[in-house]
Amino acid sequence: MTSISPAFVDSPTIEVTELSKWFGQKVAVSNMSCSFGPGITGLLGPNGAGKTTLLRMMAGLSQPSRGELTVLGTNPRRETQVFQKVGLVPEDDAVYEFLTGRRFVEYGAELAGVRNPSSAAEHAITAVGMGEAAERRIEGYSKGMRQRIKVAGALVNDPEVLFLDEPLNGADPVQRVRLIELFHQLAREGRTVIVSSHVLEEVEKMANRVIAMVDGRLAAAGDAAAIRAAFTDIPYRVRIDSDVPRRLGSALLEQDVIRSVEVINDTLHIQTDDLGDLGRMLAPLARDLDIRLTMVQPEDLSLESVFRYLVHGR
Amino acid sequence: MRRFFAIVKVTLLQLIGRRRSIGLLVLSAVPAVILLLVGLNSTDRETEEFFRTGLLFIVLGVTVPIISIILGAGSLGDERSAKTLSYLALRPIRREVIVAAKLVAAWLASFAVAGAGALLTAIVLGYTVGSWDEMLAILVATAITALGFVAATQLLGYITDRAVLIALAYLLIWEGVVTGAASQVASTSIWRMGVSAYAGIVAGDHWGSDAFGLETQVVADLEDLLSGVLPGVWGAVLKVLGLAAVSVAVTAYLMRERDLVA
Repeated sequence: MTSISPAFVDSPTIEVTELSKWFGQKVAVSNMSCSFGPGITGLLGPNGAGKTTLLRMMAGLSQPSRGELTVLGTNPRRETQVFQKVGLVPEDDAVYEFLTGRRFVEYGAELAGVRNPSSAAEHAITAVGMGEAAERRIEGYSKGMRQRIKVAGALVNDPEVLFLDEPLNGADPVQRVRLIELFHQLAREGRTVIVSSHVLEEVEKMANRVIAMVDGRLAAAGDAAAIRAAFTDIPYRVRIDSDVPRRLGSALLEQDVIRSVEVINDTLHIQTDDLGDLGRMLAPLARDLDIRLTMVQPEDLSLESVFRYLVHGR
Repeated sequence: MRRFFAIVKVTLLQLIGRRRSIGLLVLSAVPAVILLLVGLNSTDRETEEFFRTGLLFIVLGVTVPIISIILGAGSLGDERSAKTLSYLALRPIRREVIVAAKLVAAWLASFAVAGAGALLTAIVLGYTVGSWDEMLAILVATAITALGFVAATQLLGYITDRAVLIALAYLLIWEGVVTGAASQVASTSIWRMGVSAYAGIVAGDHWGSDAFGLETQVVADLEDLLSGVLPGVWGAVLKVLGLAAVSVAVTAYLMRERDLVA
């Protein structure tokens, strides 16, 4: 496994320095150092990787066992004023079931000391598309509606830093699209948005930067392609569709840049150490051989592949 | 103060759920029903004596503590079990303010429920005996006892899911048995603080230098319940306020130092 920079950003709003957290004998987070800045950062890792523990420490819910952590320049465990600028959407179903959606969000605004709680609540409720259901008690809400009202509760104080733990849980496809667009909007406004999710596709859609954790440690950081590029010992897999896959495969095998060739269901799958060299060589080769290429697609640049390499090393 | 009152209001709604409040109101009305049954078949003096020697214990030593324990433990315990504590704690509010607001809400809820039963008991007493002098004393004693038990159990509710069980065990063993048997520690008994306030109001004028000399009937009636604790409203008030202050300080400290989510 390869440890990759940059784990740090130029203008950090959150700085994590040699942070560890253990529960008895179990180490949940081990010696993490990284930083977060404006934009959406995905916190990625398998179950038990420590991402929720890290998120909770950053949100001030949990005390680090060792190391330092600052949010907007202050320690969130000591300076509660920082919560004026922080919002959290926890993974848990953390809502007051006996309140209406509107009262729940208004309560958040009152607690945050917002000047006009009613207007702030209205704004946040509209942002998550809960206007029609806002007067109903939360106990009657679906899972997706609860999720959206939690997001409204986190947005009501207009936070500079937003922590989202599995924010799309239970949301239907339309709501997902809407929430993802909302998070992008918040990022465009210069806010720091940190999303923890085990759904790679969601993280890929939301985050332009990923902090990947495995076994409580920082495993990789950057965008998916950059992380993938650092796995120099693992060749890239590329799918090539053409009119004569076997002839093209034979020709490719003679090239130094190609490690292996396989034809499955008339589709060529090759492994190469260098995508750049492959790209420069493939088109002239196909032209010389009079072969028509219909598709060339790297198969393991996705976050899912990166994740698989991080966790399983293959 | 807006944040403080916002927490109080929501906590009151949280604590006084329909099912819970009905159960607790029924419990708080039990002493009144008992007194009514006794009063219908006894003389005024017998009813008065029964109230002071037995029923006052049921009110201040059983129903008010149980109601206050359940609501006190729920003030932060409900937030913990519903996992809403993060919604409250991740706000720019001092932990002391959160805990104090929660305590006030639990006390108001306890006093509303237990006070309703105590008021009913006082009305039955007034109706059967023909004297309404003790109503204020009963309500003040209920308020003091409720605050003491809410303060004692709020901390437990924050640190354990078994707060109610632990507090009931404490009520039975320490408050019920130990402080009754050993008068040296009787002054630590929370419900006796309520009895002390009651005695201070009802018999204050009659309690002379020989306080336990059976000078008055009130003194004689309450001697066993007090178990050596001196009567007095302000002493009781100061004790429960001290207990509440310690509870707020310790709970706020734990809130700062411990993980908010397990």
